[in-house]
Amino acid sequence: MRRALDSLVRFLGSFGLCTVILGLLLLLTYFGTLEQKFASIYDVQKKYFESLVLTSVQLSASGPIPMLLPGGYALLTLLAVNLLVGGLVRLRKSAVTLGLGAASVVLLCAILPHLGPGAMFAVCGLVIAALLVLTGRVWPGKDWSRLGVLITHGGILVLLAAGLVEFHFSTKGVLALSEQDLGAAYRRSGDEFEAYFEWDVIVAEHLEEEGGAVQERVLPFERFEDLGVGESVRFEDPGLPFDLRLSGFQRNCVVLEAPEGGVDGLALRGLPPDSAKAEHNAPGMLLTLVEKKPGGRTQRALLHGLQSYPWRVTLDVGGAERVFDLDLRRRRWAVPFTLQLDDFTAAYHPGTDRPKEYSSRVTKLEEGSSQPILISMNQPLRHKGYTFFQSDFQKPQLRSTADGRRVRTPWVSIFSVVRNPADTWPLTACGIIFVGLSVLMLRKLGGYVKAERRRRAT
Amino acid sequence: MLHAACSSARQRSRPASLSALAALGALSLLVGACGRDERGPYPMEPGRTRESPDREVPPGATARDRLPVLGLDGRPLGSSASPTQPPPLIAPGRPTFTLPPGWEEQSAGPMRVLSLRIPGDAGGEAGDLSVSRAGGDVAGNVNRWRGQVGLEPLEDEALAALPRQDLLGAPAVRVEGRGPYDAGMGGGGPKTGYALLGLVSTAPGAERWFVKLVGPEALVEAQRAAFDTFVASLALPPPPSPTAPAPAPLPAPAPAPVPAPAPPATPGAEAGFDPAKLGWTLPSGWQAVKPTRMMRLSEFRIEGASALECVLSHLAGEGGGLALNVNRWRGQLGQSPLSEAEIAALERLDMLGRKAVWIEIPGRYQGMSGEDVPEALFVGVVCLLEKDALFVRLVGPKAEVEPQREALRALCRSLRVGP
Amino acid sequence: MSSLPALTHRPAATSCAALALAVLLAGWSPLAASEPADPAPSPPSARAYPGWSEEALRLVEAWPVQAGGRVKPLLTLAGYTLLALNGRKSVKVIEAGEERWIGPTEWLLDVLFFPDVAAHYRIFLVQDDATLDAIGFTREMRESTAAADYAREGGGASTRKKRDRWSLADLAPAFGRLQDQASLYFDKPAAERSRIEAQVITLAENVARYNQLMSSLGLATGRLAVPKSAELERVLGPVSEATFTQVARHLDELLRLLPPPAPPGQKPPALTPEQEPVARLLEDLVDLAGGSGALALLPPVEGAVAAEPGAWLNPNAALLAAQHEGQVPATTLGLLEAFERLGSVLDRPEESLPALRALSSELVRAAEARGDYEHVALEVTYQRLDPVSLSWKIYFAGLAFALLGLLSLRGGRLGRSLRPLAWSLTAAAAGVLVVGIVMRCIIRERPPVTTLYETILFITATGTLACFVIEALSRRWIALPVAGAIGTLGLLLAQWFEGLNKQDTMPTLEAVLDTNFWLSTHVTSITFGYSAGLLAALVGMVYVLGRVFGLGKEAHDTYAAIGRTVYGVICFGLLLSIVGTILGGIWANDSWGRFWGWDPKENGALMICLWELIMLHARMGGYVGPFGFSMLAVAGGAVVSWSWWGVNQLGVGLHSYGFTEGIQTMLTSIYLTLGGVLVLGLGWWFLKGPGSVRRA
Repeated sequence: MRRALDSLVRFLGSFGLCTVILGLLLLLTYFGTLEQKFASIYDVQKKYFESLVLTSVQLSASGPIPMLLPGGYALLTLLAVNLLVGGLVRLRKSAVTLGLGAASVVLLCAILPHLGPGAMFAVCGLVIAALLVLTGRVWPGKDWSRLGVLITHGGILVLLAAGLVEFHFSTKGVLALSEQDLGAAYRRSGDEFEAYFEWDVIVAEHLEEEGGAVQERVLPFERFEDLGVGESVRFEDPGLPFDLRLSGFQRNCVVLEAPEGGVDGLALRGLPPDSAKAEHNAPGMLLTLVEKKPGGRTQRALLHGLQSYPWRVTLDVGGAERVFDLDLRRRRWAVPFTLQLDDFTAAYHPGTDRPKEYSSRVTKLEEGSSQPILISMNQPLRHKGYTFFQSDFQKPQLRSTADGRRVRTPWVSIFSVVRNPADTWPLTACGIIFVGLSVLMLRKLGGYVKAERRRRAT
Repeated sequence: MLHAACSSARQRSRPASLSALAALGALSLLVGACGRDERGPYPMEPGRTRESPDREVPPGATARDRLPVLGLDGRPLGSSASPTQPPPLIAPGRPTFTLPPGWEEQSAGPMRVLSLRIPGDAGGEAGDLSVSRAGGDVAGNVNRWRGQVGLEPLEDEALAALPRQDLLGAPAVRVEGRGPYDAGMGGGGPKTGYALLGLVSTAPGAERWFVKLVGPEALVEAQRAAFDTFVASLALPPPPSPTAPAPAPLPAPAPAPVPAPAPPATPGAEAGFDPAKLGWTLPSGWQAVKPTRMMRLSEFRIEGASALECVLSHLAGEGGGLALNVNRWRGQLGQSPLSEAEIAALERLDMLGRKAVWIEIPGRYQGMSGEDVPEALFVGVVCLLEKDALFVRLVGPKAEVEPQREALRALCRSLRVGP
Repeated sequence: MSSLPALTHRPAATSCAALALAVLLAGWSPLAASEPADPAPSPPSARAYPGWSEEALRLVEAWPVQAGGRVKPLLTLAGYTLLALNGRKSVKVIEAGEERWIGPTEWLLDVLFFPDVAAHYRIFLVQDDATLDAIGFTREMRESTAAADYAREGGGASTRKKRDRWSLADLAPAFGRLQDQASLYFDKPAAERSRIEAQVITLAENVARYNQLMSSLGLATGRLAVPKSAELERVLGPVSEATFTQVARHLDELLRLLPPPAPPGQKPPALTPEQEPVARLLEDLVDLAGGSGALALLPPVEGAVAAEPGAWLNPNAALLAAQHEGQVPATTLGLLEAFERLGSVLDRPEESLPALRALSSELVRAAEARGDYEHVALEVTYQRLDPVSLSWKIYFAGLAFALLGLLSLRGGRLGRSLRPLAWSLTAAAAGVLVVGIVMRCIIRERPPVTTLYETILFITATGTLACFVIEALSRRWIALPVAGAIGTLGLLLAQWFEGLNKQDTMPTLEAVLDTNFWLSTHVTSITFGYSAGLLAALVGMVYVLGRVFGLGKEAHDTYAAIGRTVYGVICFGLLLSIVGTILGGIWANDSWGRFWGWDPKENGALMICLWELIMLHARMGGYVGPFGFSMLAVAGGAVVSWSWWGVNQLGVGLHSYGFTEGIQTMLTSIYLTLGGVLVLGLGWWFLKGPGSVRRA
């Protein structure tokens, strides 16, 4: 029993396992890169790098080849295990090394996040020097090569942790602000950002005597994104006079005339998911509304991601009319402050159409206080765990309104917004790995030089 | 299936921020669920409250207006095109036509708009008709074709003398020739005994239309008539709606308060109540201002009490009834709902010949517009008419509301239909 | 390229100038409709061709001109234009039977001031004469043309090869057809064009580019015929012909003589007999101004309502800007007059040289006043020095001597005497290259690596420097030949790539790259990583091949040392690759909002890290000895090449540089070479039996 456990531990921590895992990761990365010619990066990412296992790879236009491979999620988890166990197994003996290594990792984790990249390199340099001096002068003679290895692997662990945290706890989206307010589509200020890939169904009730105010309820994407043909999902809410049934969900589809049948003479036609950008997929579904009250009516309507406004339902509840807007729109996340676009500038290299740089002057509005900020390429705004990046912009263009007028749209500045608790961890990991590898390499280099000297001496 | 299931299971776990273990749990659940064709029921998640609806719904909108409906030609119908145009099912700009008997349509290559095959009788060589669109001047193209059947290029005057024919609503030059046909690049050597029948539209502009029929001489002769009928049948679909590219839906002007449907004329004071006719006498220091939101008849500003909000609103129907409104108000002040009995016991006051309910709610007031009054007093009046409901509410800091109580009573009593 | 430029020489038919005409004459002129283009360039009055003195060339090559978003010397622009048209930066001219090679500046001067002479320079490289068939320039026509050229030049080749060069005059008869076919193929998606179709389009673009260039300074030599008219006489005085500036100076007065512009869509007002001549003169003026794509030699005037801030003007654009100004700014007129003065005395060298001096100093002064001339002089030096091609020749010499030295490893006197020479040559080559890189950094005010081309230079330089270090440490005479090999191969690759790319190797940068911090940290360390990986592959090859062919059988400790070298290089490569990759992630996190996006280029870098990690762990686990490790290093070379060049060929992702089949073939040959070495190694390994290899 004990021997079995021992051998298991030895296996989990073995170089062999490590080599195999790395090899598989290499293969996975290679295939995952090639498949990007045929599928959007989002789908490739889900299939290869966020999965536990994958069953086919597509390397050519001729179509996928069946192949059973462990997914990136599984492999990275395994790698972390191998790394921990291996480290412990091999370092049980030299406790000093273990202590020193762990100490420096913890130290760096504590300091580095508070430094700019520039200062960071300085600190790393100091630590490297310190370690070399310590192990060279203070306790000479020991085998210190393991120290570098240990620190490096500490860094890798931090990196893996960062990946795990980002994968599970981060939200990414986009916020588009325009220079002037112009209807619902062009807003100058915003306090929420929009998902790239998740679409929610929204039930918005008009709080009547409050005029325009509406109370929203959310039917989350995760409940219906994987609905198969003939599958449906039901939602209910005690505060609402009706239940909702979602069915016929299509990840990417268009609305077509349905000569016979269909809803309102219309039907959804599924399209293959966009192979270039998954953001371009436009989902659709059939929504069935069943009134709770005895003998209540049942109403059906198609919702589509590109519909220009929600499906409005007016119900008579106990003599009162209650108005609901049912909409299918990209998920939104609220931000605890408001950004307002003051001015957007896009500069081109003179005489060309190659953008030189573009930037937005925004004002951050937060309980009464307001603060002007400049966001530009490589200069994001980080605040309260949210990060705003200048990612794109829209030139003014002529558009026609619902009532047929032609209007000139304002400049639109597009920010990608990320909330990622592990935002700065990779930088730390980078520092740690830098320290670890440098110590390792410099030690080895020293040995190499000595050996060569000895050789030439004899 | 397994892969889909587990990825989606992890998807589910993602916002809920579970660990991989929980993801596996969810996986098994899902696998169980996959068999059933209805899932749930799931509760809806609470969303945020908005000042105004996210997207305005124009009055009288139909599903067709709302949805980005594509015609069979892959172009949007109606005015509401989609922000990002989905891939057209059929390439736009493709002319419609009637297929002459025996002709077959085949897939048009990248260079062609239409490609038709005309089978030769008794399995002879087939004829090939192409409709294409490209740049270049007329002479160049005419002479290129003539060159392909071994004819020498034409001078300008000779060109001008060529017969004309209508093609897609523009005059076109008709080119005819017979001889060894050599398509040039990739043509695979000249074919003897061929004939060419072609049209080059002379419409000004960068792009012109080409129709070209090539085949064994006999076949082309036989199909001459069919060719002309085909050309005549060619027609372009209506140009894309002016709204492409992608109009962003802009809101229609906020609709005015909805007047109640005129009820059948019945005797009685407020029979056929028309909110527009509603009148009142202002207490001193009060001032009526234009309502800022739909469903409001008027708002009142009170001198020296800027923090006060006073609104008179009207609803067709009971507006959810007495209890619902009273208790929603109480909720806003963080008070527990009242029972029917308690509501019945509330103070009454005469208003439009009815007994309106007068309720005062102290507490912390948090309005939709984010205003927050810790020491607030809310005074509300609900007047249920035959088919309408009137609401008056005055809210603000207790200290400022107290002195206005009587003025409000007076205002309510003064309400009348007509001048 | 958004649309295919018109081939025609008359700028009136090219988009911008046509616009200028429309704006100028407010669309009323019946002549405004672009007329059928005259195929051949309209040559100015034939003048004696005096040629250019050395000083003249020195002056002109340093003229500042704005192209591709930056101000560069005319030499650079001429060089790359010629490279694009001719496939090389020089032109072979045959006069009276004898050949003469002329450089880019001289060629450009002839194009600008003696178009009728330059029209006979054979500078349009046609890869395959099937292209000419496709545009109706038939074999017979070609033969007669070639014969005519042969007669005129009195020598050279009397016939043309399948791949050969043609002059503008040669191609003139085929222009109409060229335009037709090109615009036809242009509608095809690029991926679906056949090789010939693509070449037709390229040829059309080159001819159009040439014509734009040629129209740049037509005003220097051209004259405007002034129609008889009272108005014109009042404004311009009693003249029958006038220079560009003489008319342009009175632009506003002349415009005022015309009826107010008709609102768009409305029928333009008819012209009175008095207005007709004015209109004709103004139209000729626009024609003489040249094409919209002409050289931007005129610095923008401060305070003028220029179309775009900081954008230099060509005469055409200057005329457009004059719409807003009411008239052409005085400083611009001054420069244009200087050009005219030069044009008027071209055939008299003794006068033209002073005129040229004056003009050059004016141009330079104007540029300096804007602070646009800072690095132009240095760039001229760089272009003339051409460090890359100089350096690879020296590297090659170094390599040769180093190999000779290697032959006499076991102490031949000859060998030992050769070594210092080899050392100094290789070092000198590296020195030249480093100087070149430094000059580039100064000119661009950028870190050493910002473009694919610069990665080649940087990798070569760092690779050889690393070899020097190794050699200095080990003194085994292995690293120095490797250095020579790296230098030669790397710089040849650089030159080949430049020829393939045909574009200025110092382009302006996309917005996201505009950060010297990340360019100098991430890009530099990643590139170091590449260089280390490739170096390891080369040394590994030396090890494997040495063992396989049993060179220096008894020199076991030498092999041990080579093995250690491979290991050391991989270790440093890993350090740089990992740090560089993570830094890249951090950069991406700062500019795109995600640390890692599985973008092809990112994956390539990751694969290098993974591969080197595999090597190290396999070695630590004792799965491979020095031999196996070297084999892995060789395979690693493939991984590096794939992530350096291969991923760009996928044509997807944020870092994609577009597809070039030339690069694909290069990659394949690299893979084959490495594969060959691996196969040899494996075969040998099996024959010898693993045990013995491990022991060695």
